[in-house]
Amino acid sequence: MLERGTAAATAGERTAISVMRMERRSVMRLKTWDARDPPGLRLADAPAPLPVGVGMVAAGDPRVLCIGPGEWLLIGTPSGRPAPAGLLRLDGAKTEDWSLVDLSSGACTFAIDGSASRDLLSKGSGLDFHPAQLGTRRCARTRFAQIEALIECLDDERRFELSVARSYAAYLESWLANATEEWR
Amino acid sequence: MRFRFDGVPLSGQAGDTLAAALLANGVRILSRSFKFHRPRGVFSCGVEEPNALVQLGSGARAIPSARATITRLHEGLEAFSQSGWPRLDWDLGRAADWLLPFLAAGFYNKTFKWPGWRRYEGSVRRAAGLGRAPIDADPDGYEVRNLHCDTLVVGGGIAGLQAAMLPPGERVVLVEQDEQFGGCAAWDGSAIDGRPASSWIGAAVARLVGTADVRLLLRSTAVGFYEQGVIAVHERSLRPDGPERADGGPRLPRERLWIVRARRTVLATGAIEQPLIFCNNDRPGVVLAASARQYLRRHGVAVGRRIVLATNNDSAYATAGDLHAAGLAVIGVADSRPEVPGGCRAAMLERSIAVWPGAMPVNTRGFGVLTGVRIGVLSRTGNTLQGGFDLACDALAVSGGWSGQLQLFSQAGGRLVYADTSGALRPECEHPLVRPVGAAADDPPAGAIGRRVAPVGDTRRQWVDLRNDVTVADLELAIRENYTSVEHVKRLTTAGMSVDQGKTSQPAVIEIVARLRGCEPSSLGHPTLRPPYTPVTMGALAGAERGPLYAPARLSPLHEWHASNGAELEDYGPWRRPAHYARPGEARADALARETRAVRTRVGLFDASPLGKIELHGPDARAFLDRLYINDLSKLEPGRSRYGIMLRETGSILDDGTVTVLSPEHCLVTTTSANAARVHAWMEEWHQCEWPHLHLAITPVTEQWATIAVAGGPAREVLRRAGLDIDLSSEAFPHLAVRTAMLRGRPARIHRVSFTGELSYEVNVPAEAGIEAWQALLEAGEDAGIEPVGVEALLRLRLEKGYLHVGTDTDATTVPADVGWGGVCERKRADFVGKRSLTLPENIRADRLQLVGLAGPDGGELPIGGHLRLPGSESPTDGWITSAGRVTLGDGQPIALAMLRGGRQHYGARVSVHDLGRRTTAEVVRPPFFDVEGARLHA
Repeated sequence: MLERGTAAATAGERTAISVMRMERRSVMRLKTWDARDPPGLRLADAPAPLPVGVGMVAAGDPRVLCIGPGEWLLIGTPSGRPAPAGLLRLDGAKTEDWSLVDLSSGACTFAIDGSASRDLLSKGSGLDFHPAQLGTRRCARTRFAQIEALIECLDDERRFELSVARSYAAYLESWLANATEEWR
Repeated sequence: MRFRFDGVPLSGQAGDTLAAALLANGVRILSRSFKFHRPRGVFSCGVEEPNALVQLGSGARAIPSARATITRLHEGLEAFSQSGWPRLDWDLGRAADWLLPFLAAGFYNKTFKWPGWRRYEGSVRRAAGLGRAPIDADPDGYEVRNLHCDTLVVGGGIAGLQAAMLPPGERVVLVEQDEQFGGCAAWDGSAIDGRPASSWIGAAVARLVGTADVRLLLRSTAVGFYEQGVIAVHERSLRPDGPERADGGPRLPRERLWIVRARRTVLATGAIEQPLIFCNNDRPGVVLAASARQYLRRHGVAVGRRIVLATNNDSAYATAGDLHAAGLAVIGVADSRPEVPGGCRAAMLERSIAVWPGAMPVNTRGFGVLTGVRIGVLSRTGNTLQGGFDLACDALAVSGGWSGQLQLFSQAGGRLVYADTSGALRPECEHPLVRPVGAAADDPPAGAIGRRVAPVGDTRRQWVDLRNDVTVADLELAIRENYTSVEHVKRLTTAGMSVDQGKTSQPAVIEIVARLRGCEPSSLGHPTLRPPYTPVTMGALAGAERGPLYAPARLSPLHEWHASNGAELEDYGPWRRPAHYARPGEARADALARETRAVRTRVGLFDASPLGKIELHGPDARAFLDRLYINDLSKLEPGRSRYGIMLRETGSILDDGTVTVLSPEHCLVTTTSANAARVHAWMEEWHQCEWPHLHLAITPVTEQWATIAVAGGPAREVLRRAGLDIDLSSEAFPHLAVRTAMLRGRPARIHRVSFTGELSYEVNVPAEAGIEAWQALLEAGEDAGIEPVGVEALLRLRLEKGYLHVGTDTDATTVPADVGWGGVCERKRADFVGKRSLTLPENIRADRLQLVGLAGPDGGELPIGGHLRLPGSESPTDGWITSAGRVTLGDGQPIALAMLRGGRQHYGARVSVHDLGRRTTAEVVRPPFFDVEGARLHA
């Protein structure tokens, strides 16, 4: 198994892609049980409310990914600590209508970079990775290489993050190594 | 380029297909027919080829039944014929041809009845010449890739190129099965807009290549249209030159399957020339006229030196002209139409080529290959002959009209109809997603067509489907046997059911069946046109999902420790887990006995990380769980756990585990390892669909935690030594309680639960801290003789305690009362999922299968799956063993859990156990088999 931070497929001179297993970072799942989308929910000191459209991503630290109705992932930097629940505040809603669960230890993320990123992703998932469908600051949950995954587009052209459950890391690493063979 | 066919060294030109190269080398016989072992040669030049099927390569990279007509020649290619013994050109199997009268349609079904088809299958398949699938693992890579577009254009001929030129911004995929775009126009010398077609094609391709969001795929065939508008495209021969690129080029997969999702599909699939039907129309040398022209113009290969043409339409005249212009002897053109169009006649007169109107071949002659043809002169009605004449020739180029390739249209649900004017299948109506264009949609410009089937001759020698050796006589037999539907005729005779899917036979089958039934062909409908359009290799279908990537294996956070410390890893559900930790030279059974004994006499360490874990937050979390479990959870206090069983609506057991209240609005549920995802989905379904008003959030957290079970008498001391900073005494921390603590500076959640019957704690730490915690516990337990134990030992220990293992001891019919939990259900007043079903008469029958214990004879064995019979029972079975093992301490007596009819009524009885012809007996006992009072559990 690769050490964290090393490449599953490295970029050579003519290589169109690199895949890197990322360091552990803070991942929190925020879920509300209010039937309505809570437009006022925001992180403390954040300039804007949480995104409410499924698949939308708000930049910042942590990055906020809306992965379902009333459901977000808060993704921090590798060295960041999970955000305590107290950092959240609700504008115009009951404060106890949400839960925050730390999932930092259960996720494994691969950074995919290169002009062939979308081609690589299309080998594992039936999603449409065209920039018009999954462009910058967009994410989607999908079935990737037979397993549940979260894919986030960081850049229109080439940069993505692919997150799966930690137990599948070794399998996915092998899968990615096989799938990137044609670009080595 | 050098290549070999049946071991004979030959040479060809770059750009040739294997069929073209073989023709150029004078190889006339390429195969033996499926049933009668008649010699067969190249018949066409494309995917429709019914004869020239060969085995490519050898060993692990061999491909059986490859069509030589679309196989690119490359240096060193090796091809083999698939039938003919001892040799292709001298085949003893030819004797089958003499038995032709006895080998009518359906003879397989009618003949090989006794003792069974399996007895004959091997030899019949060998005789049929179906090729040999490689046995060794394929060393090459394959892949499946997804593709989205607005418009998918299938076919890269002129019509396809035009259809692909759409406004900017439109996402277009153009697939072409050939090596080049342009279709026939790329080589037939035609002109477009006053300039050579090749020039127009080059400009069109360049324009498409330069357009954003347009993807062009060559050597790719759209093989099937599936639900939701999904189209499978098979891209082949990505690496035609061999498995590895010596120049270090990209390591491409050998083949690729594209899953294309298109908003709309344009079928520019063109048309395929159809044959004429007459006696002995299958001899090597009989070839489709347009194919003869393509071999000549594209590959510079002549299909013969003395050539006769036979047609029922205009298109063969272009072939005649080209063959003549190449200096070949074109003897004449027999045209089954009574009147030949003036233009065709004039073109032939110009070249002094004879034209015989109202004439068609009625028989051929030759030993092995074609040496001559008899042309019959049709009467005015076309139903009889007025006379005829013989011609010597070595090639007979035939054209029976054209039929559009509409398989995808049909698979998409589009209706086809036989068009009397062209003798072809045509779209009957429009389809919202699929639009045929060009020759696929319209009658090709081949003029009116004449007779396709000779009116006289032995119908047993008139081949309709060359691939499956189906003759007109077979169709006649089907009609005599009252197969009236063309689909049923197809099934009896197998016409159109082979790898070519009837591309050169279906219109003729419809026409002949209609004539035999005395109806119009257009009234008959058409047989189902099933995918795939052309064969797809198993490799392309599997893609990367083979070997280690076939099924994703889940690994525990402690996997690296297990792998480097002698664990024998096995798959349990989706998880790869240690079955046991073998010492050098130790047998599996010995390791199992050692590990179980370690837990019973000292202390064991078990990786329970795969145990499913789901957190529920919210004011209604407990109320929600109370509705899902049979147990009363309403009074469960924070810091305490309870074992619980969850039912389906039918009342059968779905899963079990513990429910822990961490705080008034925070619960933790554990599930069986294999059922974690199912239980989460089950909870979400009930919350989202049935009780959305309950305020809670459900979060699966299995992956977040490494879970380590410490089981055995000294477990408490081991945890203390490991540095846990909480009071572990039984009073402060009783059985089924939970505490949070710090373990070596990291937060940990400690559950006192047991699946072994011993004093046991489950230590949960964040996954990345799992190995550190595991090693800390091992060190702390060293003095106590701690040992890591695998899954097999755990299952043996829980068996001794009679603990239920859902999925092993239960099936989809087991209700709580069957496993001794009926009282809990009855005592719970509140409603829960499945409660109502528990009152059904079926679920309260006294003779239901019930879980009991079995004690076997000393030295004997109780086999899992062994069936039970009660004394005096006349039933074939009264139940079966679900789990089995031996007691850990003492004499090693065999024990088991079993589902037994009316089980609890039979405690003390002896049942017979039957397994694979062996018989033993066992006593029915009440579990558990060990520590009945539970003293160890509550220590």
